[in-house]
Amino acid sequence: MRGDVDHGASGVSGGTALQLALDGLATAGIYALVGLGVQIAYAGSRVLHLGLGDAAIFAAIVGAALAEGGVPAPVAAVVALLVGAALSALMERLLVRPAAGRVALAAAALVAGGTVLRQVVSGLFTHAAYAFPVLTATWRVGGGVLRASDALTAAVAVAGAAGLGVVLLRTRAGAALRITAGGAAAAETIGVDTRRVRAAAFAAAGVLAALAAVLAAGRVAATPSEGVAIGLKGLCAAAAAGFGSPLLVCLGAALIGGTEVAATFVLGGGGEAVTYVVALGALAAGWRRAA
Amino acid sequence: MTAGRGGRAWLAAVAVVALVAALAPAWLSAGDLGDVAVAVTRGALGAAAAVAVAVGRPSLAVAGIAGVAGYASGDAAMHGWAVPLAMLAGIGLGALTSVVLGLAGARLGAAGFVALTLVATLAGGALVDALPDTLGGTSGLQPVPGLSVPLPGGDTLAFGPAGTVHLTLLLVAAGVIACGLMLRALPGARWRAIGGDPERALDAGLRPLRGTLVALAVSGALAGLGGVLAVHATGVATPSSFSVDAAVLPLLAAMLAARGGPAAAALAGAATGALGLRVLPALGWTGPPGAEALATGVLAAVTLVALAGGRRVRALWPGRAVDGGDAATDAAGEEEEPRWPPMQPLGGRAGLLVRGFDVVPERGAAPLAQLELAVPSGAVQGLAGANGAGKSTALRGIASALRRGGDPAVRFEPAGARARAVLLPQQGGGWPGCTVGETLRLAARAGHRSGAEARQAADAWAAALDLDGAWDTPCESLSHGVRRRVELARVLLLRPAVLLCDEPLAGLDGADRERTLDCLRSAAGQGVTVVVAEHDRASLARIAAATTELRRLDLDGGGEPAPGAAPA
Repeated sequence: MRGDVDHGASGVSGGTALQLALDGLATAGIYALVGLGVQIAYAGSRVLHLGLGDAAIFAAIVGAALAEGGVPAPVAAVVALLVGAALSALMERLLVRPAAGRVALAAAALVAGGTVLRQVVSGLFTHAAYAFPVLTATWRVGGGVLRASDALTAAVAVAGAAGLGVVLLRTRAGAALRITAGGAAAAETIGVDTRRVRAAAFAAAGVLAALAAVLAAGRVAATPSEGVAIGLKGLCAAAAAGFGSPLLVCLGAALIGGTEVAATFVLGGGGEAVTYVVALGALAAGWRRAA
Repeated sequence: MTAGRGGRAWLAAVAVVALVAALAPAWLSAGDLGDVAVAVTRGALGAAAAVAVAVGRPSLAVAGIAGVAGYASGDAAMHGWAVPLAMLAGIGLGALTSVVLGLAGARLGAAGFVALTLVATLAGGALVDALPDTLGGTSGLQPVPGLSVPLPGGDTLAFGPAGTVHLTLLLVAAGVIACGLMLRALPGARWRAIGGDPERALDAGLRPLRGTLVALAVSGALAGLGGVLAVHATGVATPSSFSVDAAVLPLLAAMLAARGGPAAAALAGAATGALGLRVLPALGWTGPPGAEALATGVLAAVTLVALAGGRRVRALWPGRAVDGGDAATDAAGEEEEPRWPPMQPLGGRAGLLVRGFDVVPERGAAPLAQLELAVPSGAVQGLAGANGAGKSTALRGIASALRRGGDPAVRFEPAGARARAVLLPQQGGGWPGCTVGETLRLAARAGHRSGAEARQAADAWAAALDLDGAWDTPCESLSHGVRRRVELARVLLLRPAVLLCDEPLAGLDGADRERTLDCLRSAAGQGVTVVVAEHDRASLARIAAATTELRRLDLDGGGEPAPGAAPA
């Protein structure tokens, strides 16, 4: 997700800086939602959901295509979320469960599954890109423009993080997730249906990521190839937090999203490479902390 | 050994395929030859991924590393470098990139390393996009000079399409076979030992980080070879090497090959490449998904099916039945007592002195207990205590302190002895990833024996512990009892002066318990100082000269270490 800021400025005015910050906030919100999805799947299975971005973009393109065809945007969004949940749960059933606890094999299989999914969506939806209708209201904030859709993205991310924190730490569903990840055999001895828990975790991950992709498609029209980037940056945000607190996932996303917007503003196309390097560092550092 | 037979079979298969494919230019059109060269180089990537998997570093960056090498070689050749020299530079850069990734992910688990290498691959692709003037952007770097060799006198030996395929095939086959042989020999066993269990590898004097980086350098060099050959064979370096689609194929091929090693992975990679490039299009498949993506999906499905439920594709790595050694175990109890091989400690005898040692589960935590031990050389000392008292933690801490040296609370007796302390852990046995034979040979070599002596010692221990029938079986496939026998042989082949045993009798049947007790008694008789943590006090009393009771400080409410010396 590249921030759509003006390039080529010789200096950064206060207004431009504010605009960058607002764009960075929205971008971070998208990565945070995907990161939360990765985290909930990881919490239930210890598997890195490397196919999540592709499932999310598939869902968003389905929703956007429906909206283009005249289906009301809220209905199209709900359909997108359901498609995201179904695809992600299907990936768990077909690619993660057969791996029988081999997390590296499951991760590689999810990458392969994402590859196939990307090709399928490219074949089924033939437009170059699909945009999702968004809230069009804008407000002037200092020297920048805050779009309602961006504010919604950031707010949804924070609410998602808070909600996920409550679910993981304060509910029976969260406890079941943690117990399942700790060891399926032990969890089953106390009556936890670990298969259902894992499937539910992946479905929830699909909903969160599809929500992120729908919001992203409202900012920049979605293409099938974007799924990999969104998924991986979200994963790095979750890893930067050591797969710990959901609010830390948001901070990780802020680091990656902020870097992307700022680096793209300064370097243009080179910003993406810088973003990946920062994401790489966040992943390595955060994972060590988790270990 | 069966491991060798499995590895040899795949190496032979690579040689046969290379020979058959060498005839391909005779009946392939010029248009087909490019795809053949690409499929062959994908085989090299599968083999490179197999080397990385062997050392416990499943990498999605192999194709990206090939891309780095290809771009470097292509760019250098376009700037006037001789093609062989440019290729060598590209291969070197591939090895270096692989090592850098290994360092960056040194502390990550397998899944973390998968993610890290995928992000690194995409970073490479983004860098190519960012430098269109230098690297050609999405259209790629071209025209890259074809394979050619400068000759004396200023002439150049240039290869046509058929010659290019021949040369590509020859170089890839040579690289794959070299890596396959390396993995079958001692370096490969060391890498698998490191990948299987770094802690146990430390016992054998292996350096996990160094071994990992060496293996990754070899993997990167092989990937680089594939990358430079693809670029010079097709005449263009494209960013497709940095795509997710390209990244996942080699890793899946390596996982499918499992212990078949680089040769099997190369064949799986090349076959998948051929399926996507030629077979599916020839069958009329137009997608979606595209033929290459479908081929990758098929490979993923086959890999999952092959590995599902803990089953390996036995044909790739044949071995004895998993619990084949148990029958021998049952019979062993009725046979005459085994004659134990020599166990003289490396560097001479040494006792163990532990004074005021805090048993700490992790850095910064409050001590669970405090331990005092004075064990003379060649004695057996028991260590008892309730679950959670800290017995395992104490043994791990003592082993670590003795390995590091310099801890005032733990030392060999006499002080300064150049002795070796080895831990017999509570779980597992042998090195996961290695066969029983490889484990014993590796441990024997780590006990400072020559090659011939190591073979002799490993054979002697296999005979003494009835492991002959399981010699070619991967350790992780063994039943618990057999695996514990392998572990007993492994630690004693290391020739420790101090052996720290964590519940060595847990989960063993009567015959194996007797055999283990007898072996430990014999070890002590040959000068090994043995500390045994065990719940079975009756068995402990049979071999231990004294037993110390470990009590938790927080539960017993005091700072006084519990004395509890219980004479045998």
